[in-house]
Amino acid sequence: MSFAAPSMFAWALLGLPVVLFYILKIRLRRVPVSTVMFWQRVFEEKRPRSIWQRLRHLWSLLLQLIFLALIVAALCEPFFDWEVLEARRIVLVVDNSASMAATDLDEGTRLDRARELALEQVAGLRHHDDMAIVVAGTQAQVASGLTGHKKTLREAVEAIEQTDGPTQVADAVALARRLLQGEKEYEIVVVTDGAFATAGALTAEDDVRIARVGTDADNVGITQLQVRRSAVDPVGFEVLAEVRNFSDDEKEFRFELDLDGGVVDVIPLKLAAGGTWRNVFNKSSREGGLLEAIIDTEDALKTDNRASALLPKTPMQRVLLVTEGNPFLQLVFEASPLVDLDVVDKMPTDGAQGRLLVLHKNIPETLPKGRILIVDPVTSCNLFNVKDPIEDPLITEQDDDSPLMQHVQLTNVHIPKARLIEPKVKPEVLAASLDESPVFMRIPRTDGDVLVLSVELEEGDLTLRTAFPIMVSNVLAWQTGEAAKLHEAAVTGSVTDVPLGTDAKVDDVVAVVTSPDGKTRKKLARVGRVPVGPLHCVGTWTVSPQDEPTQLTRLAVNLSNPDESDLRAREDCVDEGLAATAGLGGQPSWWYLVLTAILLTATEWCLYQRRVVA
Amino acid sequence: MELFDSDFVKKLEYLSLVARRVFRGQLLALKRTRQLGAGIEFADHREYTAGDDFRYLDWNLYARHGELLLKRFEEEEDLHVYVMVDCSRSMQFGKPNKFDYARQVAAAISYVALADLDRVAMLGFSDGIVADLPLTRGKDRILSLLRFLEDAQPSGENTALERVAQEFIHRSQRRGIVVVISDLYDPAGFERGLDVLRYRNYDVHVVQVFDPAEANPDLLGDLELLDVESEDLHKVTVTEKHLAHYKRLFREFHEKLQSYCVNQGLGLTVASTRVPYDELLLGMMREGGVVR
Repeated sequence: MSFAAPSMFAWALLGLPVVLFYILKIRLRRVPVSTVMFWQRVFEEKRPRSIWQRLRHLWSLLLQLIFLALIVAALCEPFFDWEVLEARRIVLVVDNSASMAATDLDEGTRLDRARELALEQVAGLRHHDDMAIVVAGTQAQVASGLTGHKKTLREAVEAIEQTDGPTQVADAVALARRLLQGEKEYEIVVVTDGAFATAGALTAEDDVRIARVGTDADNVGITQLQVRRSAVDPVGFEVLAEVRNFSDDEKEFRFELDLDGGVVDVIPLKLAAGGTWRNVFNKSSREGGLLEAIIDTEDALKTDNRASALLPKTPMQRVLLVTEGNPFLQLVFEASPLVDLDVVDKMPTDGAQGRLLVLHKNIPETLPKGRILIVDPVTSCNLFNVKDPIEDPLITEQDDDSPLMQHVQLTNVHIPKARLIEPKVKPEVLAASLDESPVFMRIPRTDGDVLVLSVELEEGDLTLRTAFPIMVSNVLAWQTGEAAKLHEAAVTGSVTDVPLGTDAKVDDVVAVVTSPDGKTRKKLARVGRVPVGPLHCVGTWTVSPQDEPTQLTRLAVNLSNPDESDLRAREDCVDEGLAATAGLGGQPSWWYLVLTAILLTATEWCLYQRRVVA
Repeated sequence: MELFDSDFVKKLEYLSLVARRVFRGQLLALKRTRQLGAGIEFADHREYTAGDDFRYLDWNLYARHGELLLKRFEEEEDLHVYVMVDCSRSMQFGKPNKFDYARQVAAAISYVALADLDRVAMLGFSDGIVADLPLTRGKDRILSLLRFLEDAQPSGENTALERVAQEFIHRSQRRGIVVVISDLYDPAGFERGLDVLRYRNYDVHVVQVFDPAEANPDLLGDLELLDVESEDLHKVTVTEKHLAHYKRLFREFHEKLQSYCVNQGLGLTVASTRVPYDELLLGMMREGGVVR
């Protein structure tokens, strides 16, 4: 045995005054009494008979000296050599993924039970052991670095929150190994329900010990809910829903589709054990809203019984077409039920008045403010010069990343004639010919971008191809801006970019991201988009510029993760229990010495002082 | 005189007047002493105890009821009052001092007796008679009596009431009332001493003086008890149990004294030093234990 603070032995000198006071103490207080004949009778009848009673004063001194010795020994912090040699480093990985919210246990969720196990492990920590806490839901994170301070560890465990994200145990274990780099004696304890694909492989790892929580509970969950615009109906949507039965029994329930609280569709379902149901709904809504899929099953996990998607509002668009006459151009706008088209042959003197201005052939020398689509310009203007015609331009390049070119394929389109456009500012080329002459471009302008399509519509088959109406549709969506854009529902654990609700692609705008659980975080927008995630909970997230809190962009987030919905532990996931805890509470030697001293004090009080109050 | 100042003497005068008015016809000099067999007028009976003269047994009563009772007669003669004050060191205990209290009570009794033309003698005792004032008569003798009491000092070792009583009876005095003012803390027991007086036909009245601290001592823990009489030291550890035992013994002591006095027909006044001496004396007179 060694002592960490041997200098503390100096306190043993306190024994001298104790002995001194003892000697002084045996000079008892003298009390005169008128007679001792009563007292004599009292003590004759109760004469001390045992050794204890005869030596009680000496015992008192001994108890006091032992008490002092214990306290001095505790101050010297004694420790055994094996305590240092066998000091361990433990990383406790606590799974707080979506499946840990399952309520299949008698009391609380799986995460509650995991917290209990984690606290048990913390309590069993030995004196020189260090422990770190890593959480493994949505994103592997260190909740507490390596420390032997149990209070810190307990607080870290108690602060672990439930997430709706996927299990990231593999990442967490990798993180744990990085924390333990260079350590010889270490162990990684993973407290999990084993409901993830690599659970079995993890069990086989030598340095990993899995402590399992939860049972093989049945569950039915919505594993997919996605919405896209209908290809045939401008106000229509296609809704893809998928429901899976993660149990060994047949399940019967109802699938309900609601839009802003109103029931859109209800389907009774009977799913065989392990079965999957998938369906595509064609629905239309001009007003849009929150589309929710709900299944009414009483199972262990509630998170996947509901999924949502956001349908944007589809507004009417006013278009002013200035042309001397082109039926294709006019018809392609008239075909859309969302377009209120005005066709004139000359540019009105009062401008477009908020309408999308489409100029065909003749254009004014100075273009008016606002967004403009110019088709086959024949004259120059303040933004560009019209040069020589291009014969048979073969489209070889197109910017597929641009929303204006979404679903548009121009490479196979026969275009016999186009015009060479020479912009005065650098344009964004959306489609270009083999000789890099731009055929379709966006010319940026502070008072409204201008799109220029230099193809002669009367020639070639562009107007006969589906690319033409799609291109016009993209232009109309571009005009509408982000408000009418359909954002796909995201899944928990993912990171996504959310437009800031303004068309301006500005940088360094501070945005406020609010999650469904009410937490807010500030993020910096880049090119008008805000990176959000990893998304830790399901529901509707909102993003708004800090200066314009009403300018909300919403994002639907669903679990949509079969691994998390399947609450059954993987067959090869073996419960190995917690790491060995220290015997007798794992307290240091000085702790036991102080405890003994306290017990001794209590004994002394009972034997010597109790009479005062008895 | 420190103990007996002018207020004290005034209070004695007051007590004397009250005694005359309230107990007219029953005061000492106007009454006869109760002398067993010395007179012809039957007074009362008392229980027979070993040593009593068989001649005074009421045989008629024995024949009827089978009880041995002694007949008591009244004798017509001057009353002699012997006031015995305990001067042992144990009397120095308490607040107020038991000795001072006893002297005040003795002075008051003596004054009342002198005022009624009785003869009064005063004795101080501890392990023997340590001081005495011969029989005296007349109210004008009160000052010398008070001086005697003032001069008395606690002395001697343990109280030895039997030896004191033996000394007293060998002085061949006339029979009368013996008032014993003491705490009665006699290691040999108080009964033997009182029996000696009783056998000699003295009319005994006991005033047992105690301090409240003796009845309910506030002692706990490791102590060294000093017996103020013998100056013996006793190292003890007093617990609550011991204390309760002590109180029980003290209570039993009083019960034993009371029982003895009742059985032997002795007058008894148990006096706590908390009760003023004048109140105590009025109480005694009302009970008629000392005077009739």
